[in-house]
Amino acid sequence: MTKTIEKALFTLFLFAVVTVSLFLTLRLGQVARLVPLAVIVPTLALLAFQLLLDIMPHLRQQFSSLENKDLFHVRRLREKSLHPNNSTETTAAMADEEQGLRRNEMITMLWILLLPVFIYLFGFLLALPWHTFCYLRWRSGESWLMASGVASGVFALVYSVFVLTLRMALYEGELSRWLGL
Amino acid sequence: MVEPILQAAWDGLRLVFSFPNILYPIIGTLLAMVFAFIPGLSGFTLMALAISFTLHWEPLPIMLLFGAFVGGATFMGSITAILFNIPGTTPSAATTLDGYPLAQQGEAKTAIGCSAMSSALGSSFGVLVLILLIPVMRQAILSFGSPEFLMLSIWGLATIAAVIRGSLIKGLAAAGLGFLLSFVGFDPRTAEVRYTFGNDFLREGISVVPILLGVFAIAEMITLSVTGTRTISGSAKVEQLTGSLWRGVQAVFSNFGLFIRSSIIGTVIGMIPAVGGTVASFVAYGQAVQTAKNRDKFGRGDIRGVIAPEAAHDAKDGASLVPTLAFGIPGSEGTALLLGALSLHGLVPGKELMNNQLSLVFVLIWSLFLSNWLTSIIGVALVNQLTRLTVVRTQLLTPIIFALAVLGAYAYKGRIEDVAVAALFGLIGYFMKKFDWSRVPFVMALVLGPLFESNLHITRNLHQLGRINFWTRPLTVALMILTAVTLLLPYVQGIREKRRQRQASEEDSS
Amino acid sequence: MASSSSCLQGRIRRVQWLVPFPPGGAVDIYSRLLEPYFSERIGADIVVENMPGAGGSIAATKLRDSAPDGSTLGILNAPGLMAAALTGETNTPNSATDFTILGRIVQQQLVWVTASNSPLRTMDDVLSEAKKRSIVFAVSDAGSTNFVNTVIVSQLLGLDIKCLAGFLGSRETSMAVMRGEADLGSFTFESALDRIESQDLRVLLQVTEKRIAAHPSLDNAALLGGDKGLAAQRANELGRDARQAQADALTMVRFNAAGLLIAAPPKMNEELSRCLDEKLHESLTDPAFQAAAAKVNRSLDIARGAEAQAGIQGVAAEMEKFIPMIREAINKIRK
Repeated sequence: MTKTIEKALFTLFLFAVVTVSLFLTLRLGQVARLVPLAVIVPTLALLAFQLLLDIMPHLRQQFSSLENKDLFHVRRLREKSLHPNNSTETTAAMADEEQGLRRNEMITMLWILLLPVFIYLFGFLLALPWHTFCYLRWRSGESWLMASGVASGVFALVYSVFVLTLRMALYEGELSRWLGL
Repeated sequence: MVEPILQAAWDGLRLVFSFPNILYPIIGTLLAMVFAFIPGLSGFTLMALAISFTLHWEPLPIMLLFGAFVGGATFMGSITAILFNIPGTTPSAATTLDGYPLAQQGEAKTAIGCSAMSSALGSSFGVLVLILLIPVMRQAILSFGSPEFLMLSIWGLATIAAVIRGSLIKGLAAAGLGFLLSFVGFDPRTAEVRYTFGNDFLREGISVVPILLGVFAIAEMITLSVTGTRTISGSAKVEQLTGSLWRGVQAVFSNFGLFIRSSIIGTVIGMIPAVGGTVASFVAYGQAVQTAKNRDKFGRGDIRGVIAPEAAHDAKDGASLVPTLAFGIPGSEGTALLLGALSLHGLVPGKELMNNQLSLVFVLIWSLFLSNWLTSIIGVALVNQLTRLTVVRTQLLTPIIFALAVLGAYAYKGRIEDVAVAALFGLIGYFMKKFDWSRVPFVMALVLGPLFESNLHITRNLHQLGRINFWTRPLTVALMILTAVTLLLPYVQGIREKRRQRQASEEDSS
Repeated sequence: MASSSSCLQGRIRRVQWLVPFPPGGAVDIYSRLLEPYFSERIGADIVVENMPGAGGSIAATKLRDSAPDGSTLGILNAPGLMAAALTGETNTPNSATDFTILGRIVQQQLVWVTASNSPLRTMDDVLSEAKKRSIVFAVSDAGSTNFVNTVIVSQLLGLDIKCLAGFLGSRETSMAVMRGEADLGSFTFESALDRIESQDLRVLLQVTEKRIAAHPSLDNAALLGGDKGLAAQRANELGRDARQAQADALTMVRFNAAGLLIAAPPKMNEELSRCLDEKLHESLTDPAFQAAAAKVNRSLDIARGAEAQAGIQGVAAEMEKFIPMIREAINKIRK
């Protein structure tokens, strides 16, 4: 997937969210929908326009002053040359690097998403040190000693500060509760 | 009128600096600093805890301690904002915008030095205004009504255009999205439920804290992990860091006009009940960008982007005591708890307290003042140890910061759903950064949205009922003018630049 | 701390105590004051957790959905929950049926106030001004207790009012009255007392049958209920049924007096709820607790669980007759 498509997909996601909000807003009373509508309609227009810019490079060139936030050409007057437009052409080396970054991205996002899932299942006291340990060991490639040490430190910090001192009721986790842990 | 105030100020000062009274603000400051430094905790958490512990204390130590709590937490939240892009307090989210890029350039010391000085001086400004307003406190607060709050929020929104980096369309759309998020929950006037999908969690609205933790802290850690950046500062050794504490301190004085403007903004917004420091910090940041001649470095490590929010954030501390002491209306979350502590000891803010126990009020004020300076001094003393954290490998830091960020999101209101919110906005924040969607207008609109909407409805209503006339309200008119200036400034700057270029080319050709 | 006579038998060492208002507020203060006395008697730490929002229904929902094992207790704002239900909020827990009521701390008594420098010095002034124009009434939002009170009481008095809604809380609402943006506001007497004593606000009407307190600010304030109350008087003037008006006024008084309750989740074991009820009552009637409350000007209207529950059940049913009136007022605001 090229960066152009990724950009457009992100814009499309935002566009979809705002469109759904529009339909929900129309169901509200007159007063409750007043300000939301005044915000949603222009935002939707902006997002639609941005989507077009994302998928049509020639349009982007035409509206480059908007892209560079240089409505009154202040920067263009001050500088000798404009910023170069994003090119969709990549060399083979750049393509490889991009693919590597994308892989890193997917893996990191999975690790991020894993954390709330761990917390939901096992609660903070188990999930946080566990996630820290697993991340350090298998994502960062740290040694067993380092991973265990840091994870223990996280547990100690959370337990001593939040549980013992603040007496905060930390979420216990559904699975932990079910298993009676 | 002046003499009793001066006498009470002197009595209060003597009480604060006597032994063993002085121990309370010192201990209070140290505790507040620790709490503010750990993401997930805040001065607010500490105060809520302390209310129970201090139930049987006398009023004097209460004032000494809680004054230190109010003042002690603000600066330390900026340290984590600078070092890790984690706003330790929600107002310090504005400090991340330029403080963290400075740390990434090895200039963490500069940013911390600047933040320390700006905080200390800003809080002094706020305290000075508070003291000067004592004789006219009540009139000052009563002169601010819904029309003024509305214009203030409109002015804040007008500064959004200035802080947009890169694409104007994306920036404005991001602001629209931020606004939209602020509508989730109950409509402030009709109590209709909006965008909740029947979900109890969403009925209360989406809190700002988990969103900020996600969009800034988690998004940044994802970026570091994805790009494989070795350390936050890019340097492997402390010796390679180029920052200078004194350069940071000096920057405040060489941008003194900006400091004063930001302190005024923080003071004015601090006096508005229930608005809080987040609005003050972001609006001050916006005006810093707006009024800067050369604004290209903002968002990339411009020291002015640290001065403005820090000054505003700390000036707000003293100013937020104005509605609190005058009418018992909290100017911020911290002062809400202060009110609770006072109430538990039979101290009722208002005429009674201001007329009959003014020296006790000054104990609170001086304790706040002292703690603000103490935190800056201690922060500066620890700067070398703190900046070491920017050479720790990000592979080690990342999972710890993930853990603390989600814990912080949970600890705010004890809702597990906030963890999911933080994670989700971490991903969204990452993609916003990747695809050049400015996060600042998003956050500013999110924070200003509720203030704008509720006051719009009330002001509209008042106007329809014939209860107000905008043109006879000097503050409203002044804010309208300020908003117009803010909106027209880029256009004027464009015309000036064109004229300058034309003159320069005419001189060249002759 | 656990003892053989403690209700929780050492099974639970920490009780989560849900408070439906922000920390430091009037309701929160009751919790903080009560905590040491109740904690000692039940043999567990009490951890206060503030969950403000939606008139108390967010905290109430969490309390209702918690396990009935004594690990979660909390304060219910009974009028707030009833108001939310009356205004059509479908997800609101029912304070009468969805909880195990353990006791009551305080009954709320409402007053109508105006700014001290307002030309409206008595209810007679308000009624004669109302003949010339609508009276502007500040309320927080259209689902709040004070909105429900305002709509019903103004209807009883034959007053044409316009609601100025959208304020964040009662303090901000009172500021609108003090600034003169609104003619009137309605607050609990206790919460407004400091502003009344500092002569920022003047009391015009007591939404009660009897005088609230021997306080000089109430000397010239009218009473809503009773056979000589303003509701009955106005009914006679307007040619309405005075006895019905009196009954309606009493319903409003009882609605407000439902007060702040201490509750547990529903379907609690009888033995446990009886024990907690007993310990709560001991704590509330502890002279040290009462002295601490008096020191911070907090009044108490203590009742055991059964009495408090009976009070709400009766009034919730009576309030249903006002639903059409309330819904019509809400629709006006929402249009």
